[in-house]
Amino acid sequence: MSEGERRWSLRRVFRLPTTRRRLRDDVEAELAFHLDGRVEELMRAGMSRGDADREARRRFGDYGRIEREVEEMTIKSERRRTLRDYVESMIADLRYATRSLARQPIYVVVLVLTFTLGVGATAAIFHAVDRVILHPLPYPDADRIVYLGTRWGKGGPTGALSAGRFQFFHDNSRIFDGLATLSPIEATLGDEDAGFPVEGIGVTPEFFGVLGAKPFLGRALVARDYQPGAPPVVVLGHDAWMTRFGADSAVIGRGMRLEGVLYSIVGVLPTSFEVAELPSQPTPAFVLPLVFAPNQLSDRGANYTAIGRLRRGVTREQITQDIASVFAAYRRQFPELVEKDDAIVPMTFEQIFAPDLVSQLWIMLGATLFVFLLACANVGNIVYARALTRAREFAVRAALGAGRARIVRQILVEMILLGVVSTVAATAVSLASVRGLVALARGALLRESQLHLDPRVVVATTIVALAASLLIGLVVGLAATRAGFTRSLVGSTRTSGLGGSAAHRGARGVLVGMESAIAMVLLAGAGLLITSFWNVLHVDGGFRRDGIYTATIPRAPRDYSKVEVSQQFERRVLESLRETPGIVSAAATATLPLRRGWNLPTTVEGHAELTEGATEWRSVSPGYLATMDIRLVAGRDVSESDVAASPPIALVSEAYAKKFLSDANPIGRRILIGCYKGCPERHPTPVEVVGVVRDLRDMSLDQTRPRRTVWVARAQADGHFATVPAFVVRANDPAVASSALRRAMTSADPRIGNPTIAAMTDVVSASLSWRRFSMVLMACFAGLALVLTCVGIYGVASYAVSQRVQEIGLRMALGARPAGVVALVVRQGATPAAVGLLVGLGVALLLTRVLSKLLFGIGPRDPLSFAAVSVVLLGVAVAASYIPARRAARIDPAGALRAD
Amino acid sequence: MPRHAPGPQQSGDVGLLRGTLDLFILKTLSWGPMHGLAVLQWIEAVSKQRLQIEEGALYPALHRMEEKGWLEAEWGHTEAGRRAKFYRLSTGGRRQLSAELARWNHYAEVAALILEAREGAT
Repeated sequence: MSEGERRWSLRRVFRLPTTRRRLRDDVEAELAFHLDGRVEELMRAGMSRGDADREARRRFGDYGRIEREVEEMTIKSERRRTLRDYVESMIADLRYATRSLARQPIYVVVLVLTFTLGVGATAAIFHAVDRVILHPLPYPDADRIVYLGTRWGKGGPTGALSAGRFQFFHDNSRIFDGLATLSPIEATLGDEDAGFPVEGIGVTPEFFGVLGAKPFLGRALVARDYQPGAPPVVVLGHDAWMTRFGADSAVIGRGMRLEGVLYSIVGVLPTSFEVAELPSQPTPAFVLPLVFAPNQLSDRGANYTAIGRLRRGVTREQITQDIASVFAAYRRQFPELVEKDDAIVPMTFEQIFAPDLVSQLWIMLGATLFVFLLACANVGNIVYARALTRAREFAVRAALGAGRARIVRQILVEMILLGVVSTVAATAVSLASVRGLVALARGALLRESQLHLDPRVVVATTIVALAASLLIGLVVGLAATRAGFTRSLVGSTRTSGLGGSAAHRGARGVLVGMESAIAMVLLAGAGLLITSFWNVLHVDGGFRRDGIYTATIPRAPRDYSKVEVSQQFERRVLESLRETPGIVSAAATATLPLRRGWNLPTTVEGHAELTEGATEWRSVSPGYLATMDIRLVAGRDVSESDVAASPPIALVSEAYAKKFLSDANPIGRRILIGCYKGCPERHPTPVEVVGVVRDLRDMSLDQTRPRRTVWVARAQADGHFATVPAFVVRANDPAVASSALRRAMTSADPRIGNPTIAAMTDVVSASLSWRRFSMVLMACFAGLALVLTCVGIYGVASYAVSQRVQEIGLRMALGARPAGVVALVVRQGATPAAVGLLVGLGVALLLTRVLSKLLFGIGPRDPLSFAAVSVVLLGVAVAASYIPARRAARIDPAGALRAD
Repeated sequence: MPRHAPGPQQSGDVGLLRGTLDLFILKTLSWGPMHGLAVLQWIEAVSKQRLQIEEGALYPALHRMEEKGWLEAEWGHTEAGRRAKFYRLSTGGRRQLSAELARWNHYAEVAALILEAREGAT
């Protein structure tokens, strides 16, 4: 026997896996056998050894080539065989897994549900994060889009420029391929009286280039459309083209009337065109050229979103430098339009349009990751439990020759199967919940087109879900097979090695501890947010909510810009309302609480230094303060005698009085409204302060500081401050209030259409939508966490009871009382949860700080909230182990001892 | 390894027609399991030494047929006690052999008809 042969036989004895080396040796041996045989044969025929050797090789042919050829063939076929074996055993495993899962539908449902909720919640929030933060813009090369914003002094920047500054940056900045702005336009399509309202936009020449939009038909707006005296042209939105022009491709060149003016249609936008900068109206019906009038260019108001498309390769430093130098030039050229500490800053889309949402979404993403971890822990726990109950099955398979790897693989295959099912379900859940998220956020940010299923998110979800299920399968498989499961074959599962089952309990205890720690963190967050929501909802805003009903006009007729017309309308409505039985009182205002208001610069007369650029400005009719229960601190309310002909009066808020009029009694002082630093060149009429109004939370209920506010009489408004009135009534019956409002308004002027009527309580509720968004989400997560933890604790406790039937029976036979048994089991079940709770408490104390911005009237470490959620969690832990404990207490000692 | 060119063919010896080696191997193995050398020796003996085969070519053929499932291979010992790889015909191989034989006989008949035809035959 040659050395080589001995090696093979050894391999055969030890069943070593086929190696490439061994395959080569086999081929060599086979060919050598042939040559040796021939040599012997030739030598028997009388040849010398050398001759015989040569002759044998000659007859054999090209030995090297043949050896190589056979070797390659063997290796290839071996590879194919291995693969086939693998696939076959995999299919067998899958079949086996399907069968064994099908036998336990409840197990499958619980597992898939747990996993689906965990993965689905994460995917949904990730989807929102992706759409809102990572890829908010629907434009090509969106990473080159940058916005210019204005910063006044120390405050946060506003994402807009004044028309003059926009134009100057457009003309002088060197970092952009294009800089554009837009302005929404409401217009009547057709003739002024017989048309219907549509919403469109006016845009500057580079707008389409900046957005990367190409027209679907015809052309976009070009430079010559902006020349003075150019014929009026319009680009149609896709929807408007479809609905108003029957998708007629011959529409180009035809005329279209807007507000009675005839425009010639030059193009149609593609269906994909969206203006992300107008989230409430992303698909305009028409696009017109926007040209600034000279007086607009000297207006300081930052009213224009400046969208820039950067040149390729522009760096951050270049952006900063360019902005600084261009703004310095602007300052030199228009010193009267720039304050000392004004600045222009680059901004991102989400900074401008979703500043609050961004931080909230990150927090929610963090929370879902906790939910995901918790779901994984719970799935692991359940799988582990099942693996233990299958100890006998595994033992039999091991005895029949299945290695540990084989059994782990079996668990893995089941997990993959469950993972696939869960992924499909999770995708559906995430889709549904993204819609839910939007409903919750009241459509404020996500556009309809952003709801579509994103393949990247689906792929990510699938990968995460499968990876997680594989990992769980692997960890649980290894852990469950570690503690000598072969022993199970000898005894029953119940009596199989005490050490083993203690180790199993330990591993599951860790999982349960982890679950309760995570649940604790989520519960703490939810507790804080819910308390904050409650606090905001019940904070005293300084105005009445109950029994107050508000009405606004969606679109005022154009002639309402004339003071006489709108004042006449207002008078008629108020007269009619005050005559209506059931209406306690009625009043008019320019600004409803918690709605966007107006602000104007103010100066105390004779004190150019007692001035600010943005004082809140409220214009109200007599009776407004009384109707809304807004308290006067001093002086008098606006009265019926404050009319255009009488000396102008104003009321100021406490905060205003404190800041600017604190040196003497504010009543009787005179201030200039619409005037920054006194504006000596304009000589505005001073108004006399006749009253001081309590500070309100009327910007938002959770506003941190009261805003300085001036209140003026609507009847004294001059042409410049004419505003469309909104109405408030106090009534006991909502139906009476809304029908009275509707009737009074439409009969006063039928042209206003259908007024928007809302109860003040609903206005309050709507103003809290963001807060509700994060609160409801967090509460859902915490609820889910509580349920999952409950399942986990219950599972471990009932397993422990089933393991210890005999021991418990023995204790009871020796005189243990049922109450003692219950206490024993509950203690054991709740202990890991309690340990996890403590750990979670620590983590929560560290983490809740990120919620600070969302909290109201409560600290991020509020002891009461933490205590409350601890009690809840502990209660759930005790309750979850109480059920198996009761079962343990009902064990019949005699029966338990006789078993086995 | 030195290369050996096949020697000059003796008159009367025939080369191997393409594809027929497989058939010969199948036929040979239908007599029972054999190792490669024995297959060759059997063919030599039956063909009265008149068939010129590059002996090495046998092995790629054997392995290919094993992969196709016509042959089964197993390491065993010769009567002299040496380890050798023995091939046996599988069921598939047996089926293949009869199909090939039928095809070959048919071909031989047709070939004979053509080659033996005389001028004017219909």
